[in-house]
Amino acid sequence: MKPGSHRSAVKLGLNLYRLLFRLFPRAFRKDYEGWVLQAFRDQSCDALERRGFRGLMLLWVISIPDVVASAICERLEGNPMNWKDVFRSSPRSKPVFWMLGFTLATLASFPLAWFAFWALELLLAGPSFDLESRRLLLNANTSLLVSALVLGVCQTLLVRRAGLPAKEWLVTTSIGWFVGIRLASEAWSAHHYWAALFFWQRLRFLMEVSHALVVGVIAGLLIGFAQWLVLRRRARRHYLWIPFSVAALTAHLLAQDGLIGSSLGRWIPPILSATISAAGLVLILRDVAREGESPSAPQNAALAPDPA
Amino acid sequence: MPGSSAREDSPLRDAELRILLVLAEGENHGYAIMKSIEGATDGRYSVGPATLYRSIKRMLEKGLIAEVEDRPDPQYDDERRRYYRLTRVGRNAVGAEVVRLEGLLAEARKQVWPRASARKSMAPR
Repeated sequence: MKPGSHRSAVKLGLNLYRLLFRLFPRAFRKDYEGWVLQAFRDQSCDALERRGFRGLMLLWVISIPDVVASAICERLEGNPMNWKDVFRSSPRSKPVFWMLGFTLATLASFPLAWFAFWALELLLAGPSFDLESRRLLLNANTSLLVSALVLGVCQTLLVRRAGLPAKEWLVTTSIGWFVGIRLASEAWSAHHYWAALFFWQRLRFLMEVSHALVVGVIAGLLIGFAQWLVLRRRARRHYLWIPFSVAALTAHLLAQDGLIGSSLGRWIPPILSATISAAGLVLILRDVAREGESPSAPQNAALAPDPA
Repeated sequence: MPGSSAREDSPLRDAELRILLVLAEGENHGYAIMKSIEGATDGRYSVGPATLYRSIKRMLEKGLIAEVEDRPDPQYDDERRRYYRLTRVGRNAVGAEVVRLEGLLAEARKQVWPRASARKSMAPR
């Protein structure tokens, strides 16, 4: 990779880090933002020099959970936690609690979808049904549909607290997830064939990166676009959502490739993508809450706190 | 105190102890502290910038470390950096923590290898 693109990669990482650093309380940011960003910049340059682009990506995978977890701990220290707040808060009242709740809800949807699929299989096929018939009855599309619906329900429980319409979010999330993942898996097969021809074995690492980028961008764009349809009429900063969605899914796949064979590989990628999505939604929906309070934003009047 | 956690009983967190151990060797700035910790553990343990400055903030509040007001020799100085040093309170805290950890280690050895610890205590000095 050329030095110019190295500089761009460091700058991109720094901008992402700066964005996530906004999760820290204002007082901490005021005193330490410059020093923390300076240390991260030095760390990025050092990682790039010592281990190349792969080292830089590994640094991002380690640093993103570090900055998010530190921000949450810093906020909780100044504001002792009540677990009920995680599921009762809104992005305006307690943004970090809400973000934690959204991350947990997204993560919980994966095992819940597995149980739902298993229950559906038992219900439709019966316990004595043979394996081949089950496969025919409940193919990959059905399992994807179940996971899309469960994810939609889990996220809806949280986003309705932020004033977003529950039904619209449920429908767009489920359709977006289903279509996004379905098309991304098709793209994966096509890309795998062409990338294997193009990069062959010598550049296996580049093949993995390009695979994560292609699939992450397609899935992130489609899911992000579907949910953006709900956000666009309610938040001024709605345009941030699609980049966040793309970043979340690409980070998921990059982390999955980077941590292959490691025991962390199962946990870090979903946590990373759920956290990035939650951070993006907090940034966007905090703005919604502020707009809702402002009398100069009549289109958001429905989101303003109920005077009763 | 009823309900007090183990964390409250232990005055220093892992990252804080490691930062204090680096500063025990001499004053240093944030990034150099991070690199020293990574170097001392052969890369097995690293502290991210966010964790580092959160720990620094806590330790400054507790008086364990202080910001260095006199800048180092200009040829070694980097204006972009903020240097920290260990205070006397910090040095005492490190000593107390090391003693606590030694006690814990001795107790753990007794539990895991009771025969070996008994032989060691009976051996002529």
